[in-house]
Amino acid sequence: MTLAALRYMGLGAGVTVMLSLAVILLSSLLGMGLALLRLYGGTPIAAAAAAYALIVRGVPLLVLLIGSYFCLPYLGIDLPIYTAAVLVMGCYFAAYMGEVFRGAIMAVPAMQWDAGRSVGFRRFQIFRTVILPQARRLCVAPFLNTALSVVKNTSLVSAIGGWELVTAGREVGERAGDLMPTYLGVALGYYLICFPLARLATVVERKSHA
Amino acid sequence: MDVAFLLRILPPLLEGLEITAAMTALALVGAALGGLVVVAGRRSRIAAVRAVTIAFVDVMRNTPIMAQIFILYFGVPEIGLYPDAFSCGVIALVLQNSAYAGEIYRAGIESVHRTQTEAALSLGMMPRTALFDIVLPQAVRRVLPVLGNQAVVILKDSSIASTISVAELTHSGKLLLDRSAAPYETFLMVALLYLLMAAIVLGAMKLLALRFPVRT
Repeated sequence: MTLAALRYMGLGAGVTVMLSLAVILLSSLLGMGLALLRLYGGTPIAAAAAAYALIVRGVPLLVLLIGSYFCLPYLGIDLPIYTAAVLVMGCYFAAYMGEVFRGAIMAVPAMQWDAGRSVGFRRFQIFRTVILPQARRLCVAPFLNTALSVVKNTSLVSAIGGWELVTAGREVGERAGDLMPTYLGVALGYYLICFPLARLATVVERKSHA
Repeated sequence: MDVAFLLRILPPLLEGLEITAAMTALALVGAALGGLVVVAGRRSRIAAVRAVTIAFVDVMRNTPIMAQIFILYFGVPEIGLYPDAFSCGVIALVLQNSAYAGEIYRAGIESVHRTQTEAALSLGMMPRTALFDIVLPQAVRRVLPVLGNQAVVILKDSSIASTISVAELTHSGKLLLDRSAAPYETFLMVALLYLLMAAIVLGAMKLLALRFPVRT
């Protein structure tokens, strides 16, 4: 592989990282909203949020991406491919992030609420100063694992014509007429991006058990 | 929304669904067995086997299935092997999910308290018997829900095989989207079929979990 090819794939990896960051940010915000609605939204809203999570987690991301690629123009919405991809992936992973945050909040012992009430805190005060800081520590490892899954799944954006690491690899490989080394290079690229995340998740997990 | 059209596109989609179901079933069995190999490798007495297994899990965890499918389908022919698209899809699914299944099994085994093994050994059981008769039955019961989620992941990831033109459900859906001017109906139908399959997989796992409850 030439230096130029390597640089080209580096650019692709850069796009993958940017896409991942955008999706992680959006899905975290939406996921937090979903988690709060499910926990404190009242029965009908909580049920709707639960249904959303259930439906989204039962349909492949690729189907959602392809579906939006074909359906959005018919609705008169003409979004650039990256915007559409980030929106769809953000909504998709919001369901997973929601579970991560909900699980973490629920894992804080209920006694903490009682303790907060006994010193005269309001519900929101207890949530913000007692529950959330503890939940935040609990959610780090599952959050990182979900983030890892986001990075890996941005590869699907190549299937709807987005240009990122997989596409860059395909272009380099097809031009050189030799696909094996470039696809191995693509895999290596993902590995280099994901490994620190996975490593961090393991370290955090081990620390929380100790 | 055109209901008659929905029924008309059902037969071609069901053809795709058959392939999706076949891929998922094969990959499920393969990953369940592969996971056993992984967990055995990680617990091996030979350091080299442990290192190779850890490296395998590491690579599978940190690379997308898309890259693996492309390496198998486009890369492997360059070294003189020509696996068909369906096999490439199944192999990629099995490789990736064996790593995850292995980790799930391992977490299950580790969640069974050490004293269980000690108690079994003190009764004179062989270590192997203690593992198979005491630890594993408890471990498997605990990880059933997680395995169910992983099964749904396999089902959903099988859609990625559409990118190497396996004629499964997503691929049939894409062909219909290309050909018809009714994207909502097609999209809705494909999504519904996946949901239905996911519900069946999760339901089956729930039944298994009821049949093999966690005893405390």
